[in-house]
Amino acid sequence: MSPGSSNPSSPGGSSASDDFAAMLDEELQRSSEEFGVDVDGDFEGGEVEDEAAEDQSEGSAEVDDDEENFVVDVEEKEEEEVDVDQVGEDLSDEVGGENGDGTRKTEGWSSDGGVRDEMESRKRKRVEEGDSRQAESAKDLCPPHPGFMWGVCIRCGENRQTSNSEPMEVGVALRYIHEGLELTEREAARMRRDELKHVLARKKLYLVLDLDHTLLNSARFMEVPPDEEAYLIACYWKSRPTGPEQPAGSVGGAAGPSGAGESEYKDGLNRLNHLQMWTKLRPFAHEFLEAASKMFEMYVYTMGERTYAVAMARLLDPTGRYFGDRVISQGDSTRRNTKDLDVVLGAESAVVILDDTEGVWPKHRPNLMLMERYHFFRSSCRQFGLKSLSLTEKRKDESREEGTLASSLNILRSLHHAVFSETAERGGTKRKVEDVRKVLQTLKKNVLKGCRIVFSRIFPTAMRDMDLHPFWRLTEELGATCSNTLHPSATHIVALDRGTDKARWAKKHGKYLVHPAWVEAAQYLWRRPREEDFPVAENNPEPPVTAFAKTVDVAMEEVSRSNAVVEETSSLDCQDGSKVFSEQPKSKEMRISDTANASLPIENTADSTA
Amino acid sequence: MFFHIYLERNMQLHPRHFGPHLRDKLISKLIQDVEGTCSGRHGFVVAVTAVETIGQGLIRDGTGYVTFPMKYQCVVFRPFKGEILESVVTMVNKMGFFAEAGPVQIFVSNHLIPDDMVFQSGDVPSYETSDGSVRIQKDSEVRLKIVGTRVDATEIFCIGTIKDDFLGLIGNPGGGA
Repeated sequence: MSPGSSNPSSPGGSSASDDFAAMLDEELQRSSEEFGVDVDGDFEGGEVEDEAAEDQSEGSAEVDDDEENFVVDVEEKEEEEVDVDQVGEDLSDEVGGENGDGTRKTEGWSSDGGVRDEMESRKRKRVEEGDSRQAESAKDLCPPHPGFMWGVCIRCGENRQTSNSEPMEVGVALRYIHEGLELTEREAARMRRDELKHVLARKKLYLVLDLDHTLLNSARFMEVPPDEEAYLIACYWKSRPTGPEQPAGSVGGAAGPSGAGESEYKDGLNRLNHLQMWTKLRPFAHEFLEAASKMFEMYVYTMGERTYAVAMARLLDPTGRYFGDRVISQGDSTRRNTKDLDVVLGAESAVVILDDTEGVWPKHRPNLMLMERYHFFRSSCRQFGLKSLSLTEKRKDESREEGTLASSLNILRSLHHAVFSETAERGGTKRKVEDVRKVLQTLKKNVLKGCRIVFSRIFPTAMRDMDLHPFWRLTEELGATCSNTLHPSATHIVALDRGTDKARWAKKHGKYLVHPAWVEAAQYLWRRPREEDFPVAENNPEPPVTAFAKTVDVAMEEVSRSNAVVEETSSLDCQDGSKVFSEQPKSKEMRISDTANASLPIENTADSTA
Repeated sequence: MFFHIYLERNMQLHPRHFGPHLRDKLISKLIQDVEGTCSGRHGFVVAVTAVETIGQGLIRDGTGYVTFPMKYQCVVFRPFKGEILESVVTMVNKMGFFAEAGPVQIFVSNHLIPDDMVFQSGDVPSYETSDGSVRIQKDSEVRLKIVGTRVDATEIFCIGTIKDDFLGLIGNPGGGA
């Protein structure tokens, strides 16, 4: 393919046949579709030019031609074919002309007709050729195009038609994989199927991880009050020298992705100067990822911005071996305020989601493992309307060994085991892998298995369909049997007040009397929480939780494990525990009531009944 | 494909450069302005090889800048549909891989990768044949054929295929075939 090989300014200007004009139009249209107006002009020029000019332009290295020609060159064969046609017609025209001198018009007509026929057949042939050529390269499937990269079909290389013709299929933009990549729904489904096969073959599932409040907690510099900042800086500096190759002096600048010694400090408190942010990784985060990466293909899916998401992913996974390019941020999501698995190239039956907010996953609740929120910074507590002390104020942190991440990891392990061991049992039909959602459901059902729970003044007496209340449903999902009336076989009475009949009955018969937070705790801990930790307080209608799930589960410890922090924290434990979580259930209830339709928050109930 | 063509450009020059080296200044500015740019029409300007003519300067009203029409010869690189290119892989993912041939970015989707090559995720994601004899990963050298281009005013993108005879891996990262 050299610039001169297919010359647009070819002969044929002399021909005035309608057919030819039509053909030319067709060619033009085809070419302009592919190449815009450029070609258009060239072509018209070619038509006007006479044969002499053609010779000249072919031979000479005229500047204009050189420039124009190779642009048109892209037309490849198609243009050459035009040339052939044109030459053919010229010849016949000449013949017709010679005849025309001496013969009648009709002869000329007939010869013209012959040419027309010939051209028709050629045209048809060419169309067929074109089809077969396209089919060859596209495996007879394009269109519909499977997807587009930069607006070009990823299979046949055709440009996307933005106007008219076929209606554009709505695709899933996968910008997190690469800017400009878009797949159709069907292609995405195909990818999911393919991927699933490969992933299952490696005995893996998908894990979609949220960042904020699940794996870490961030606060902007400006949100951090001075006293908190002082504490953070103290911790930060204390923790640094623990890294062997991290001299204390370089601390300030070493934060962020550049800090290689970062991983030394596993409970990483990070100061990201370029984002103006403090970020605290949840304790155990690295170990969690390490262990989970053996069982799962992991995605990060956050509602944060791209830069933030990438920076956080880099903190969690400096080498990129856990997440790779599977970091999905807000801009990549197909909807503004919710998360959806449609951008995740994983079959829904094999995806587990770890997130702290149930509401953002409206379509994929069965895949969701709800996580207890991680509030390290004061601003984070404020953001969720918690009046409790943040971890920084208490000078504490979640436990590594028994923290939320550690316990979730155990759940994930058993889930993974359940999914694949059931496969093994089936032996021959090993392609069948249990649906993650089902397994998750059964695991959930085991949490409060055998508990027969009676609610006392949890729901308003006037309320119908109590079994549709989210709290009721949650309790049942956890495997407990629920009832609103006393039954001798009941094991737990859930109440907000000691003074109710049922509460007294429970005391008399030695049944557990627990606060509703006990059920919440069970949801987060994935095991039956200790009932003693959730007693119902005397005549206190407000939920007087002495210890919520967090404190039960989390053995508090100093932020900087490596060496002593300035403050002694032991004095702060029990008596303020009650204060700390006094507001927590409220927020939980709020969340429950958001997520379900038409239900009264528990608290109102308590007020009205008490 | 490379072309050696003539192009024209109007260069604006600040009056402070007027003097004995005016011509040199113009040329160096031209080279600086033009080399490495991309226009959809001509492709990437690889190098200016000669300056043919520099026309009469025209003083622009109100600024004092002078515009010189320049005609120059340059080497341009423009990819075409059907062209065979050799390229270096820059990124591999499950959708396919990206490669670069000089300044052009080319995407080869998994539809256009031979069926016997499958995606292997891991530390170094790659496309590999089942026997492991052929492995396309980052920095591999690949010969591919362009099946489609998108030409913008300032950018050119290509879709390529390696699903054809004599296409595919031609060199592994760090040398060796």
